[in-house]
Formats: sequence, C-alpha cells, structure tokens
Amino acid sequence: MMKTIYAIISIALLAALAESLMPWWVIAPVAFTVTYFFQLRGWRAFLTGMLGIGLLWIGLSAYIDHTNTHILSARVATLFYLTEPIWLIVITGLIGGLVGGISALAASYLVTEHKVNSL
Amino acid sequence: MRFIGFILSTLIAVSLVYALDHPWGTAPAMGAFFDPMHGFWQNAVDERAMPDIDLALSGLHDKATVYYDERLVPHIYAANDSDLYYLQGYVTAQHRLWQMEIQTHSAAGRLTEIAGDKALDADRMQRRIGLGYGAAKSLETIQKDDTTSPLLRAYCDGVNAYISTLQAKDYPLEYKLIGYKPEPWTPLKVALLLKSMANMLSVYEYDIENTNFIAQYGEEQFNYLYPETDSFKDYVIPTGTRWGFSPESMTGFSGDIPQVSPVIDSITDIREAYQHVIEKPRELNGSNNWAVAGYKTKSGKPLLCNDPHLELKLPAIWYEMHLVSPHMNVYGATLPGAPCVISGCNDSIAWGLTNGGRDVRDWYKIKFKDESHAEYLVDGKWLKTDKHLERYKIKGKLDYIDTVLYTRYGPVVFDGSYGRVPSKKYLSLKWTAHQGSNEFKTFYLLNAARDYDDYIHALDQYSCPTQNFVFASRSGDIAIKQQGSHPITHSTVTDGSASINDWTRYIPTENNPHVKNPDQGFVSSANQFPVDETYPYPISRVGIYEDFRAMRINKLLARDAPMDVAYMIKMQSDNYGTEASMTLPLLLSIIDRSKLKADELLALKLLDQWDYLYNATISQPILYEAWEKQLDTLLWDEMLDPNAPMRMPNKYRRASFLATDSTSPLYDNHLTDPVETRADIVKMSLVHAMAKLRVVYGTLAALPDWGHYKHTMVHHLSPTLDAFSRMDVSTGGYRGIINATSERHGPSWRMIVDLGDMHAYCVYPGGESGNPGSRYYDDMIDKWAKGEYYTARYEHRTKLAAKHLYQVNIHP
Repeated sequence: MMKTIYAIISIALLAALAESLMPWWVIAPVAFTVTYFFQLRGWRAFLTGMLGIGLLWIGLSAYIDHTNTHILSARVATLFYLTEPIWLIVITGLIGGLVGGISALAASYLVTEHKVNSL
Repeated sequence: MRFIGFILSTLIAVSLVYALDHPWGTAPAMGAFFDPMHGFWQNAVDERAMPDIDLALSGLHDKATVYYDERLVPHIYAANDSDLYYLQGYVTAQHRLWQMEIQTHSAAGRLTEIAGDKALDADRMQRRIGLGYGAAKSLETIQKDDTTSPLLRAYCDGVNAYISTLQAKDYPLEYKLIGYKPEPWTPLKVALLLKSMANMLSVYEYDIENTNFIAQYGEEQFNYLYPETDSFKDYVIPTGTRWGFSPESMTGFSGDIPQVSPVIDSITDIREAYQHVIEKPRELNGSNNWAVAGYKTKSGKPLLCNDPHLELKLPAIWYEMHLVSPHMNVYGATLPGAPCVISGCNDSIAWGLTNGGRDVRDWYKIKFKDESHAEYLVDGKWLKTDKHLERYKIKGKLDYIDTVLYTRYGPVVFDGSYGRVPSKKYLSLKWTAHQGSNEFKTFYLLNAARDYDDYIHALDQYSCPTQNFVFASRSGDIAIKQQGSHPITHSTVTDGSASINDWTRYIPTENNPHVKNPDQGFVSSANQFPVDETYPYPISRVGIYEDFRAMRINKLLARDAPMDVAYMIKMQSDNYGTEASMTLPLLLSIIDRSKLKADELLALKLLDQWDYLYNATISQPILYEAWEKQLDTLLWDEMLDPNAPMRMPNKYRRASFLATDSTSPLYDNHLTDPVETRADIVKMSLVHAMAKLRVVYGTLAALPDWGHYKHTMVHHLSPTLDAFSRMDVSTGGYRGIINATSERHGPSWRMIVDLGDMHAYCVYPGGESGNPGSRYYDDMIDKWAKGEYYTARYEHRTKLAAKHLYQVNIHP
C-alpha cells in the first residue's frame, strides 16, 4: 500500500517537474517509467497512474481556479456548454488521469511475475 | 499474453495522447488545452496579486517605469520617444496581442489561414477593395518620414520583444482554442490597422444605389427624395462663419469651381441596374464631440467631450494609456496595434474625433477590350490592365488564387468572378484610402501639441478617414476642423472611359471646414453635414449624414447657465429621441383612429403620453421603433428591389416628406391592390407593427422594458467564441440619440476633459485586458451602461508611485 502511495506521489512530482520543461504529453512517459520503477501491476498500476496525474491536474487547476475566483473557468465552462465551472476541473482530472492510467497500465505488462510486490 | 497486453495498452496510450494532442473539428487539442501547466488554466491571472517586477529589455536605450493603476491602465514613463513607443508596443501586446493580430489578419484578407475556407469570401472582399494595396502605399509614406519611421519601428520592436518572451503556455487563450501561434509584428500591420479604420469609417457613398434609383425612377424623383438642401441648420461649422480663404488658395483649385456637386452629369449613357454593392455599416451609427468655451463653464476654462460610436466588441476596440517622455505627457484612448493616443489630452490641450462621413470613393465603369481583360478603354485608347495575383493560404486546404484587375482608378472589385450573381459589369473603385498617407504623424504631433497652431499643423498631415477634430486648450481656445483628403467626387457610377471623370480637383487642406472660437461659445459635431451653402466647394450631400444628435447637442450647449462636468456627464447619456420628436407627432396627427383594435388604441395612448425619452426602464420606445420600422418598409417599398439595391431616404427627409407631401404616389404600396394614401400607410404600419409585437409578447402589458427589449450585447471578436461575450447589458438610448447605444453598437469611449484642472473622466464598454481570464476583461461595462465614469489617473508621477496595482522597472 505504501509503495502505491509513494508511486502516486512520485508520478505527481516528477510529472510537474517534467511538465515545466516539456509539453503536456510528457505525463505519459513519466507515469510509464515510475510505474515500471515501482514494479506495479494490473489495476493497481492503472489506478496509480490515474491518481498520480489526475490528482496533480485537479490540484493545480483547482488552485488556479480558486485564486482566479472562477473568472476564467466560468467563461470556458460556458464555451463547453457546462453549467458549473467545477466540471472543468473534473474533466481536467479525467483527461490527465486517463492518460496517466493507461500509460501506467502499459508499463505494468513489462513487470515480470517473480518481481511480484511483496508489501 | 503479457506481450500482447503491453502492445495493446501502449498502442491505446499512444493513440490517446495523439488524439488529445490534435484538434478535432472546432474543438481544440484537449490534452494540451486542459493541461493546467500549459493549457487554458494558465490564462487565469490575478493582476491584483502581482508583485513589482524588474525587467531587462535589450531594445531600450534608457531606464523606464510602467505603473499599472487600479483599472490596469498602464502609465509609461520613458526617457525618450523611442523608448516610449517601444514600451507602448510591448505593454499593449501584453494585454491585446490576439486582438491586434486578428484585426490585421482580417484587414489583410488572411482569415482563411486561421478559420479555413469559410472566411474566403470575407478575405477576398478585403483584398478586392484594395486595403493591403493602400496599406503598402501608406507604409512607404510613413517610412519616408524621418520622424515617424524610427518611432514606428520602435513600436513594432516593442511588440516583438513581448512576443519573443512567450512560450506556448503564455499564448492568449484564443490562440490555444483555435490552435495557432502569434507571428512577428510589422510596420505593414500598423498601416493595415489604419486602413481598416478607413474601411469602417470612409465608405459612406451610395454611388451604385443612387445609379440604380435614377435608372428606375429618374433624376427628378432622386432630387426630390435626396435633396441637396433641407431645413437643417445645425452644421458642424456654425452658419455665418466667414471662411476667410485667400484668393490664392482658391485659384489653386484649378480654375472654375462647380456650384453643386456633379451628381447626374456623368451617367446619362449608363442607366442600368447594378446588383452588387458593398454592404455598409448601418445608418445612424455615429459619434459625438464638442468643446465649450471658458466663458460658458463654471471653471472659466474649456470643457471637451468625445464619444466615438463603434461596434461594441470584446476585447474592446480602445486601450486606455498614459504615455510620458520628456517630450510629451499624453493620456487617452489608443488603438491596440498602432502607436500614439487617438482621442485624449495632454497637459496643454485636449482633442476628440467624430467621423466626417464625406464621400471619398467613386465607382468607375470599365470597358475591357476582350475577355482577357488585358486592356481597357480611356479617351479612345486601350490602356494596359495591372493584374494582381492574390494568394490565399487556407487552413486544411489547397491555396486559392484570385486575380484582381487594377485600372488607373483602382481595383476592379466586381468583375463577375466575385459576388452572389455572375455579372459582366466591371466596376473599378477609386478611394482616398488607396493613397499613401501618414495619419500616424498627425497623432504623433497632436499628442505633443501645445496650442491651436500646433493642432492645425498636426492635422495638415491627415488624409483618411475624414474626421471632425474637436480641440480645446488650457489657454482658452476651442476649435473644430473637418480634416481629410477631399477630392470632388461623383454621386453615381461614373463612366471610366473618359479621363475627365477622374479626380483632378482636391479641396486644399487649409480650406477644409474649420472654425476657431465661434460666437456661440461652443463647437460640436455628430456626423452631420459639415457646412452651410456659403462654403465655396461642392460637397456631395448624398453621403451619410445624421442630423438628430447634432440638433440635440447644440440645443443643450446653447443654454446660458454655466456648464460643468456633471452637465457633460448628463449630456453624454442623454436619451432624448429627436427623430421621434419630429416624426411621432406627425404620425399621431395623421392616423385615423377608427376601426383600430383595443391594444392598438392603447399603444397610441401610451405614445400620446411619451416624452420621447429612450430610457431603459420604459416601454414606449419599443412601440415607436416597431412602428417606424414598418413605416419605412411600407413607405419606401419602391426601394426594396432585390436585383437593384437602393437606399431609403434618411429619416430627416422622411419627416419632412410626411409633413409636407400628403398626396405623393410614393405612399401607394406596390404589393397591395388598393391605392394607399398617407393616412392608410401610417395606419397599416401601426397595425403591422402591433401584429408583430402580439406574436412575440401577446399583450402590451407583457412588453419588456426598452433596455431588455433592445438587448445590447458586447460580442467577442470571434463569432465562435460567444462564451466570452457580454450578452446582458441593459441601457437606454438608441440610434440618432446622443446616447447612441443600439443592439451591438454604441459609445466605444466616453471622455470628458476639464481644461481647468486637467481632470479627465472616461469609461469604455470593456476592460484593459483582452484576456477572458482576467477581472479586467470586461470590468468597465457595468459602469459604462449606467452612464458612470472613472476619474483618469492623469496626475503627477509621485501620486502614481504611491498608489498603484503594481509597477515594472525596466532597464536596457
């Protein structure tokens, strides 16, 4: 369990670091590499990637939205026919989470049987 | 098994990333767009939390400081003019880059590069009327001038210095949504911006429409409905002003001076209908400006007001700025993308602009030798045509190439390859906006002007679009001059095969209509006809002139009690409908009230009691506007020919026609069997109007108030980004009223300058930031709608240094 939490935190931190230098899609190789490094498998790998990126994106967007007092999100929400700005944060989390999750899932297939997590 | 899983999930991951990294249809690349570290979230800003900043800019010669005040208005302090314009470019781009670029792309006919082939028709129009052709010529003129050339360069360098700091995450929101990036700013773009103002403001001629009318109804009827003179008296230059032109300057006008403009003379052999016209801005759009002499004000010094009326847009058309160098200290409205202040004040003078509306275009009928269009006829000789190839890069499609033919007059706009119906009638456009000119220099000189002589000298440079420049100085002078390049033009389509029809005579710039310190103690303009019949040069009356606001303004300024800023504020928001006050009493006296339905009688009763005020909270303006609209349709049905566009007589003429001509055959509506009289048409129009209102609202009691019915909107510049518009603005006023706020058009900048204490009060329907993620994007709209103002922080630097949002210290 702790390993998963460490992996989630690592993905979030490394993704934030990598994203400050590279385009958004760098989240995919980050989720992939960290998952492989932590040797996570199956649904747990997917969830780790999903939460690592998803929580990072939700946290960042929610913080930005709060300091901006929803001025931008209200307008962009209208543009996407959304009733509440909060849905933009949900969508942000889903997009990041999905990419992170599937990238992590791909890495999990490289983790071999005998290295099964013992924690 | 594991291997297949790896391949499959990797494939899914890669495809997902690919899909989210590319735009689909009109949707942006969703991954890039939603990424909080690069996408739209990065455009959420909080300027109030900005710390002071130290910034190094290599293009600067000396240290400079920018203070952003509590409305985010930048106050730029530079050590020289070059640094000043460099920073004006830098700071403007920081708030308005996307707007600057989209407006110049539109002027250049390059929207297809962003919007794809749906913009092709609009792009072709911009190039076929020769906006880029004129801009290139102006650029040459500007660059030949030793003063303006380096300053224009400095402005562009400043814009580009800002652009070069940008990473993809910093691009304005619209770039992220539409999926492209900013390109370098160039002097040509500045010239294009000025030409696009010309295209908005100097297109008021009705040559083709007039030709169609005369071809169908004859000259007599034309002169009757579009008269050269009428009872109007409130000219820009007060009646009785002595022109004081020297005989020398008059003889410079190549001999004879025609007494009336050549309306009909040139078309006797080309009486035919033209199906194509360029759509013009709506009539009764306009602007107001005025200045009051010190002896009529409380402070003893002049007051000056300006409110140019333009389309209401976000980001706003104006950007408020304060520019200070050792050479000037100027405050006011700037045009994002171009240097200088356009309407404003400095520590000695104030000035403002309204549109002059003069006819500065002609349409020449061209006879080509054959289908190759290689040669055209002038004075019995075949001259060579210039062929300009215009290449359009279209997003997602192959390039499109359009050939535009140029004659000695200008581009052949309509040649059968463009327009809704194929036509073999060739019309070449001649337009003062095609000429090289340096309007930038006028504003540069005006920004630093100290007195009346400086002001007149600054105006000498100014060519197009014709503007009424109102002026007031701290030393107590007031003045107004209608300035522009004014050839003697035609009012109908002209035969291009006779060179005598070409422009040979221009009114000398020093003889343009002007007046200084007139006896009446004020000067004003509101897009009305400029001069009375004593002006020795012909001016085509058949352009667009709006009489009603001028009448009201002059009436309000003629009062004896001393005036102050509070009175000016009341005036700029004045909702009195002069047109209604002239027309409605006539309608009410003519209408036969028998056999009307109960709600129609009630409507008349409400109108009987109306004081012609277009206040937001009442409903009578709805009834009158619905009625007068139907009246136009029924009365002027003769001019509603889909195959020959014509122009309806203006509302001033309509009122005098209704009052003085009770039996005209024009009252008969062609679409109905019986022959209608004046009384029939007045009644029919009311019945039609009420029927329309009944469909929407049921009963009169259910009518909304005027403000909600009119439903003023401030639209985002991109028609696809209505989410960034303000759709809910409730205001009074309407077309033809001082507060000329209509559905999508209105006072784009309200300014009042008290030359006594040099306080300026201003407001505009928008905000300083062009970023929909900023609280300063539309923060002034509510105050603007209520007719309230901000006090401009046109004050000493120490006060700004003590209180501001944040400051930027810049060094080379």
